[in-house]
Amino acid sequence: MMNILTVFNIIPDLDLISEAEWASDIVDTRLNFPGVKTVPEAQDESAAELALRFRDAAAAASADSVAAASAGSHASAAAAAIDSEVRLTAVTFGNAVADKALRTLTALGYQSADRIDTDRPGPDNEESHAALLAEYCRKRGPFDLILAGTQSSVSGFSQLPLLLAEALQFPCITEVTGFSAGAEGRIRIEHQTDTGILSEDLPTPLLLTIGDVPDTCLRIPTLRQRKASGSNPPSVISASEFSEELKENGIRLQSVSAIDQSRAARQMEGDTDDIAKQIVQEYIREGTR
Amino acid sequence: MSLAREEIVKGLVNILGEDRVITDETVLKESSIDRYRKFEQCHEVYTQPIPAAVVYVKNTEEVRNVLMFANENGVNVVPRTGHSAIEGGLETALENSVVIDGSEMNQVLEVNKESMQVTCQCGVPLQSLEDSLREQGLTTGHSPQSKPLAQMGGLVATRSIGQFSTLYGGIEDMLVGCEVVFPGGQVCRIKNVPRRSVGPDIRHIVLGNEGALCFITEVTVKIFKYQPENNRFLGYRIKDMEKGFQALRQVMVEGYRPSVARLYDLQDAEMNFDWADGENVLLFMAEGPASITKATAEGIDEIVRKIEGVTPVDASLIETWFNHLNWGAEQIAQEKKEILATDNIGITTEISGCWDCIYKIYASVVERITNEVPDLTMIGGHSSHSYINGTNMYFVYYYNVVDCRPEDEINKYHNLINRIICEETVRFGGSIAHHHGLGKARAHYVWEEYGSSFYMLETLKYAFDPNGVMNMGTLIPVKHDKEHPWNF
Repeated sequence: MMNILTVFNIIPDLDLISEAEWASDIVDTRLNFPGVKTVPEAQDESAAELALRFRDAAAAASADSVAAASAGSHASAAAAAIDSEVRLTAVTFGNAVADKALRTLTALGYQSADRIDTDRPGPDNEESHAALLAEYCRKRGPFDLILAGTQSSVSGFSQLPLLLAEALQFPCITEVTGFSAGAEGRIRIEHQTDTGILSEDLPTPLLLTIGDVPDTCLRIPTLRQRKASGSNPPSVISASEFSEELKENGIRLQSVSAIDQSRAARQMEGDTDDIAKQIVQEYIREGTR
Repeated sequence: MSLAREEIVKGLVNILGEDRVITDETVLKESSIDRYRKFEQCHEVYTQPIPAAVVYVKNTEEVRNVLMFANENGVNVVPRTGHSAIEGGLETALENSVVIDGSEMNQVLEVNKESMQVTCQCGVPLQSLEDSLREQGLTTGHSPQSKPLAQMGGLVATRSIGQFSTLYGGIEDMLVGCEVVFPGGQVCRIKNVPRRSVGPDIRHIVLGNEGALCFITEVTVKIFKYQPENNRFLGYRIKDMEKGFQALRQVMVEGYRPSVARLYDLQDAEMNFDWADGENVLLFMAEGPASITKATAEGIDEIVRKIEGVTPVDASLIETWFNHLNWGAEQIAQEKKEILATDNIGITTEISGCWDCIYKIYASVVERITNEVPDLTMIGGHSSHSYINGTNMYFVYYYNVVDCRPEDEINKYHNLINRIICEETVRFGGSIAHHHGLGKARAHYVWEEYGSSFYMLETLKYAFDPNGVMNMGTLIPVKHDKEHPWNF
């Protein structure tokens, strides 16, 4: 059985915030966005979707091999089915606001969706979060694959996945764009490098950081799927169950102000060609000064 | 007698000149539909007859000349301004139609602060009119979600309504006078008076005609004092949806007029509010002079808190949500990306009903859609426009489009859902369209909607459009399969 863990983060939907609202509210050293809807990190959603596709592919391969082995022995058919079983688990930090995303994942077929209960969602202290996650992985694992978005769009510095890999002593592949079953029980990883996409077969366990991967929006569960998963609700784990303590990072946010990105502009009316010539002449004059 | 496509174009060029007669293929395809066929639109699949031309008119005389040309030659025309319609009203249902676009008639003609009226041409965008009025301490009070896109002519033609309607009313309460052009070339002006008793109110021939009777060239609407500093917000979670309707009703019956009064069921609440916690949501906004907003907010709060299962929420949550309600080009572009990425699409259908039947409509629609529609990912809705005698229900639904070509989505899902909503609404005595218009989509239910009064609608159509050239298919279908009314 292949055990896959997806680590994901819930963030405020900042597209909904106007610039005037950004600097309004700092609560307990964090920016506060009361009333703003939260959404999963885009890269974490991609990770969750890629895990589902891996599961679907494994199930399809299993169905094919069972069909192919139907003429053969019962033992070989059963072995093929077991080897292709994929178990999906998701974990996040946060309060009950994150449960909506967790319920979506269980409706889509994640067997476990865990929330480490804290009122400080998001990896503002990535070392502390990584240590706690590592302990979670040791308790709930072993995991063959751990997936995480490369970077939080709000507060992250791309450290959490790397620190987690270090704590677990897992090889870490960054900027992964896809993965599938490889030869001899390995995982075929495709990841972005400076020179292009590199594809290689690697043994598990592995930690993969998922970057911006096109066409990996998380699928939407139907109402029937949601109803069926109702008997498998998210489980809430108190942070106090862990020996690692979720610590603050000692950095205190004092204020936020927008960077003025406005540029001087001037409206010019008249014939387009004449305007273009005028601009070029002005540019040349400026350059020769 | 109908002309060939090339003759139509030639005739229009003779009237308007070449630069205002558009025959570019992409423009024609995009002009053959509106947002009713959203899934097809995202996939750039166009199944409706492609129009012969899109023409941009600049004044009433040009509108008149184009309409007369169309009328004399049997050419179907589709009047258009903001292109934000969502019920198929802008589809070019007949071959070689002509879209008459009034968006270049975009002048604000007069802001009359003495009489509190503004007069503007049909192509004035509501957002820019509202922005300029607010700078002067005034407002139209009209704020449909399409405000960033919609223009004044279309807003009157579709009998639109805005988010603050519970205080300011719908467009029918705001329209003072107008100028319209009929296909026979008659240019008619309805003068600006506060009220009159001189026969039937002929403004109601124009309001909601959806381009099926005339082309609106100019409108005068009321304006109001803009006092946002006095706005008060109220929000509540409420366990029971039926009690939520009762709360809305009581607020209206007791005489309060908040500008916003909304009830979200738990599905729609979960989509919109992180703090809904699995419950329905009630929210209100009071607007106007400080003493009135204070009294309105306090009175509503007293009523709602007495209802069982209500939990107040921080008013600042409502204000934040409210400031980000409207849909512009950016949101539409983002939506298109999401639809293409997920094959999941969200649509709305709004109806109305009196207080004694609205909950029954809501409950039966949700139950039927849940049971009968495949691949459904969400069904819910909210009430957003309340009256002394009833309210609307804005059904919101999402579904995955599975194993289906873009052109087949409309019948497999969208029309099926609309049919269920219309059937249940009519069954309980409600109206199948509250403010989006019949368009061509719900026109297939026009007989059930009107009953015996269909005679009045039909007579209006024959009287004002005897040659059948004004946006045919809107309000009254041109083709109707009685056995399968929702396959089109």
